[in-house]
Amino acid sequence: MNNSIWQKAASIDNRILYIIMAIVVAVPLMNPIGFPIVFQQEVLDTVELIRSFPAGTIAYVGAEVAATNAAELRPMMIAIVQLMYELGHKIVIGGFWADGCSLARLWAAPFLDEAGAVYGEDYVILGYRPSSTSILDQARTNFIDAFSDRDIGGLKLSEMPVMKGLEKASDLGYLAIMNPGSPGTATYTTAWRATGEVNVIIDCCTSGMYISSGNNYQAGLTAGLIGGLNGAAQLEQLTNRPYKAIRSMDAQALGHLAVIALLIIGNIGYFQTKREEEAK
Amino acid sequence: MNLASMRAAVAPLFTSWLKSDSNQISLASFLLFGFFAALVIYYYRVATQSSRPLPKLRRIAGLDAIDESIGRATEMGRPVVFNPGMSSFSAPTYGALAVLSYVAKQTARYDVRLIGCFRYPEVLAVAQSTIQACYVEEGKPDAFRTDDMRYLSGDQFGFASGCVGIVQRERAAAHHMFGSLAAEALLLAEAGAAAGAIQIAGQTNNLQTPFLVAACDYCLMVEELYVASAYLTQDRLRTGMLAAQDIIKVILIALILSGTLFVTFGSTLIGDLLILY
Amino acid sequence: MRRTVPLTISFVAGMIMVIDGWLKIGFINNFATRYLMPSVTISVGWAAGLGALNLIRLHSRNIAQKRLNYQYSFVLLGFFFLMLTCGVFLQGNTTAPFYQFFYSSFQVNLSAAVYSLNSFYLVSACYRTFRARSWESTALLVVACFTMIGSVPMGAAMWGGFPVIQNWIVKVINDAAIRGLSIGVTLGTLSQCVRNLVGIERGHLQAGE
Repeated sequence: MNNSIWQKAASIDNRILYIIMAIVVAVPLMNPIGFPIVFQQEVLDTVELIRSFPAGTIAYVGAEVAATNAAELRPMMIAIVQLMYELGHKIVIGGFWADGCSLARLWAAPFLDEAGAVYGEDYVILGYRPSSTSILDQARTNFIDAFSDRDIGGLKLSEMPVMKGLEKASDLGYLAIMNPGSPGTATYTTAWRATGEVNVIIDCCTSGMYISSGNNYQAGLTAGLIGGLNGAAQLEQLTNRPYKAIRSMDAQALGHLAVIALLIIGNIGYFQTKREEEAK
Repeated sequence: MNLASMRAAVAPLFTSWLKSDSNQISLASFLLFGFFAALVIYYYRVATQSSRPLPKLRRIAGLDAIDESIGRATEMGRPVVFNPGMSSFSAPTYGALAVLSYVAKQTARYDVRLIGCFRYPEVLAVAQSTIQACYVEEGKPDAFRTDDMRYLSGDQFGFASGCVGIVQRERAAAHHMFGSLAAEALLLAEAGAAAGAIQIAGQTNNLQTPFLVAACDYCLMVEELYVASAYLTQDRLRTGMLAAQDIIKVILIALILSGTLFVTFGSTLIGDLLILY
Repeated sequence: MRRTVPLTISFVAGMIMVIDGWLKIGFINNFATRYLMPSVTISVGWAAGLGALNLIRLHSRNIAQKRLNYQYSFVLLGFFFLMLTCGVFLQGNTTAPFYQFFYSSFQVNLSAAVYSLNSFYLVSACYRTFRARSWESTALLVVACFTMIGSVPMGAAMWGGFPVIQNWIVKVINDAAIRGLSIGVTLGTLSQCVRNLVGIERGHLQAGE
């Protein structure tokens, strides 16, 4: 062992780090290992909460998603809407992210259609609207007018059976908000929960938002929490619909271990280099 | 006296004129805001109509480093890249524009190129006129380049990749990220690190602070962004506002501590008083 | 005049919203809900056009003056007008195959690709920064390792204590710190908003002091 090895360990080129990560993440995605999924109590409680609502409940899904958070929120959205349809809930999908409703149509609609759901009767996609604050505020008194009585394809909302009984926000049974940032769960909490329109908000957040979402869940502002890829994998397992989240957990696990290994190597190299410089 | 009876006694006084909410903190928040407004008026009078000393602002390394970073850019002959964040007109963006105003004056003074990266066109329009006015004030109106104020994209990562490209292609000597940043924070910070820029970040998203602390040379801790305009200008009025803000903070700390103590010894009085109406 | 009018508008509009938030005054509540809130939606739409014009102007100048990498400006303007044409002629029907092809093939995949750079940059940032140079950075390193191992099922498989420690770090230490920071941010935001409302903060109005 000579000095240069420790110096190299302490200053590995970024490109080598990226190649290591690419291999560590790509291999398990192509050849899943099958690590067991460990269930968190909050996910178990959230699924039970959704199951407690009777058939016919109108559920709102906040499709606050973009292609960037597809890895975590796509499997979560698909699993949630499938569960909602299985329980006989009416699904209203809206969103204030520019890509949200378009992606909901790309991601969730095929699974719903395959399960036998009829657009307009069992689910509807409202389409993008700018300025969440004013729309949500208006929806407190007149939901259909707030969304201009038009869905994503320009069809009239007031003529759709799924919208029957939904005149204002308080007619919604619960919300399941995909939460990658802003607008997100906090937007709906401020607009509808704080004003008493809706009492049950389920926060389906990315791992980046898990910390603040956990705060809100502990404080009782949200009634359910499913966080990150881990949460999505648990949801898929609990609803017995394995999809991308379960497959991706292996890659995430190995990725974390690779990062820890690199940190350890870097620190060993740092200390050895420092010791040898002091010895000189 | 229990919560229900207190509410029954208090509700008739407010029902006719004060809105209520599902959390029942309407009265508490209204009183707190009223007290804050009174403090604002008090400190306004102290700042403008008297010469009484105001509380001193403690040193904030990140804001002191702004001058250092512009000095570095001057020596190296490379530009300063300023990013006022991801959101449209919101409190963090106003804080960022206050810093931008100061940075623009300094870059005009020392003949350093300033490149602005913007996600929202309305922010671009306001920032452009602000910077132009700063250059005129410094006597260098011709030094202002409209093409250096760039609207990149309305898409989050379209904007981030544009900003990354600018920082790396222009080989920025200083990279300032102020305002509201989201998931692209790490992307921007690593790009600046790769370009060898000195990086100063001041943003209000708790969740991105760890990434920026790790990747930037100086990072303002969340609410320090709002202090920036007072700190950089040493303006009495703005310092007075900060004093009002800190007094409210002390009141909240007192409420939290007293509430915790009360609950520990079995009384919910403080909590009940806060959710009266 | 150039500062007075915008400051007056922000003060009046802001005070209407503040009053609407707390007080029951019929005409103010009505005005805020029916006119002021929807006006935000309208102004956002106009602002989008402003951004588009700026983009076209900047990149047209790049092409006209053949600046460095002006070829990319061709690509940008080409796709800009292509998607604009799709939107105008398809009249908001985003189910059209042509629009869907460009959207799902380009926009979605490019966005995901740029976001995925985060994971690589995270590794290089962690490797560079998480060195046990002092007690604080050692604590940071140890906490990061426990959090990373505890948050994946493999950690639970290795030792049952990892998820427990991770949960405690996130739910107790982290939540407490986040709550403190959130209170500070909220107060700072409140103070900034009041400064804007009453016209003390004028940095966005042509820097006149």
